[in-house]
Amino acid sequence: MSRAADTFLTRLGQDLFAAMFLIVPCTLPAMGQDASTIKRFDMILENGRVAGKPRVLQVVRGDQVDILWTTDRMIMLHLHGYDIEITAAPGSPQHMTFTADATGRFPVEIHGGAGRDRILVYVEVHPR
Amino acid sequence: MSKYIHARAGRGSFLRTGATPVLCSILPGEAQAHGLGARYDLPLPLWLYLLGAGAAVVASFAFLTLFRTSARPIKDRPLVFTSGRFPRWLVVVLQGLSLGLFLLIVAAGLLGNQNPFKNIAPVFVWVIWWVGMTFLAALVVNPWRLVNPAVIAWEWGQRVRSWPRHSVLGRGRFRRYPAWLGAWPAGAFFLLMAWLELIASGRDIPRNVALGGMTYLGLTWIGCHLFGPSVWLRNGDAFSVAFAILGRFAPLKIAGTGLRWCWWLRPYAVGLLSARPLSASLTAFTLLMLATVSVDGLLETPAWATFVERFEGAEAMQAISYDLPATLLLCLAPLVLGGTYISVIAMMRMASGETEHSLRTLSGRFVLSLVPIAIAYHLAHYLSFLLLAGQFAIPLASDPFGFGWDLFGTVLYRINIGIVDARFVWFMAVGAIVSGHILATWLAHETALAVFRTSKAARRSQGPMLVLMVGYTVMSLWILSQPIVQP
Repeated sequence: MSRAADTFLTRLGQDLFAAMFLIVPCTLPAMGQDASTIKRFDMILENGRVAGKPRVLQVVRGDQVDILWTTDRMIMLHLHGYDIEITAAPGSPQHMTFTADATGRFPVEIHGGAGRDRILVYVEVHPR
Repeated sequence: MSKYIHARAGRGSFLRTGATPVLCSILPGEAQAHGLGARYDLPLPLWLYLLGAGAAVVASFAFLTLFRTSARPIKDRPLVFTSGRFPRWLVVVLQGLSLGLFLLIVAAGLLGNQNPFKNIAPVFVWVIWWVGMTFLAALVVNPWRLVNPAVIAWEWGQRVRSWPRHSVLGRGRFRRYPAWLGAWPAGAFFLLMAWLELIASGRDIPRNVALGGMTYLGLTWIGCHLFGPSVWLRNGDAFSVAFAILGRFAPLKIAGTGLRWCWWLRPYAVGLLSARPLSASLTAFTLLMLATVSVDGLLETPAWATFVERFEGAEAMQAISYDLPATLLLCLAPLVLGGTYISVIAMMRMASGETEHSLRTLSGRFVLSLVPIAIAYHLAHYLSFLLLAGQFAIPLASDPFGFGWDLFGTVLYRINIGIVDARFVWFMAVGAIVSGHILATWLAHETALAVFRTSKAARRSQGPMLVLMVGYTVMSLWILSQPIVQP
């Protein structure tokens, strides 16, 4: 190895060393063994819309999630990522049930109808 | 354009009828609304965003105050750990594989199932190659000059044409490339590619992917035929130029011609130090790359979604397509970055007191020091996407055309969306961005020492550059802390 490379490593090494003190503590895994819970949500759709902007349903990884969809029109809903589809109709509300074993932010989209498919809610699964 | 991942690509043969309406068997027209580019990343929590931003600021101040005024800059040539030669058989194997893969992808795109999740072409081109090769070029080695299928096809074609004389592919019979044109054509093609990736609908349709590949092949052949491969690839080929810039960061470098290739191992980022300034067109290209990487993230922020809603709400705009604001952003962002960059360079020049350096020279010397921040942001932004969407390649390798084959037994593989935990991705992201910022600051530091005559001038010049870098880093972190809003 050339001397220049050697000097370089010494100098850069000193500079990076300080930075390590910021990064390393943050990578220590968080401890926390809470029991997983069942989280239920009731979503009521009027005319194929949720009131207001798309809501965010927050759960923690490991939770059992149960979303009940009540609608006044026949609709098809798709939860991306977990890839769950349901068809709900007036008078027969449908459940979307799954175990949230993957973290992320997953949209629930309504399919069909005129125009682009719309995102109704986001399901955010947070790490423990 | 809405973009989502379907976790169903591996679900058996598409010939199965009567199954529950699987969204993967939707018509190609609807496929436009369901692209491959979905990301399910959780936004960075606020405390981590602030920690990262704080670390970037602290690191910059540390550099500024610990600036070694008596230091000599490191020359880039001796900074090599070791080097060696590529065995010729390896070159032949790699080039053969690359060309074969290219032909498979084009064939699958043209002849196979046109559902983007049942055909190997979109996943391979947009995920494995466009995202994956960027990672490879920046973090390991830039192999593009070796494995570019268009160039391989052209070179092999040349050898076949000159058989059996095996004449060396000389330079004498090529036209002279107009020097004033520089790398601007590559820049224009890069902008077009970025537009296709980020804004155009239909980019995931296999036929379009195949046609794109064939267009690239044709363009490369024409360019190589007119000007010769080395000149054309340096000036007209967007991918070669882009991967070359990214490859400067990587620790491994390969270069060669024909079957004679060599490799060098060096530290990260030192390839971004350059004794000579980059040309104006290459400086502009670099800034374009940097801006595009940020626009990619900006288009998914809630702030952008709100802006577009208001834009569409304005009366006269009802008839204009949704794509127009995004296209405008894509075109304006490089100009804004360019203008900001030139102003920073001008301030640096004034601060240093050595005004004999031209703006052109200084911009050409310092632009590469921004690249590590862009690479780090790209890594943070696409890491989990690559790990998730990349898994589609597993079932598709067994059924590349979507005809119901099962070549390797993996066609029923289901995508595992829990493959990476959000916390791991967050820490990787912030760690990468802060490291990228530190490397960028170091590069600017070394460049200043090399450019300015006195180290005092070099030290004084660093202030504006550090502000620019902190701004760029904080903006990258901000984008990562925003919840993804898919249009």
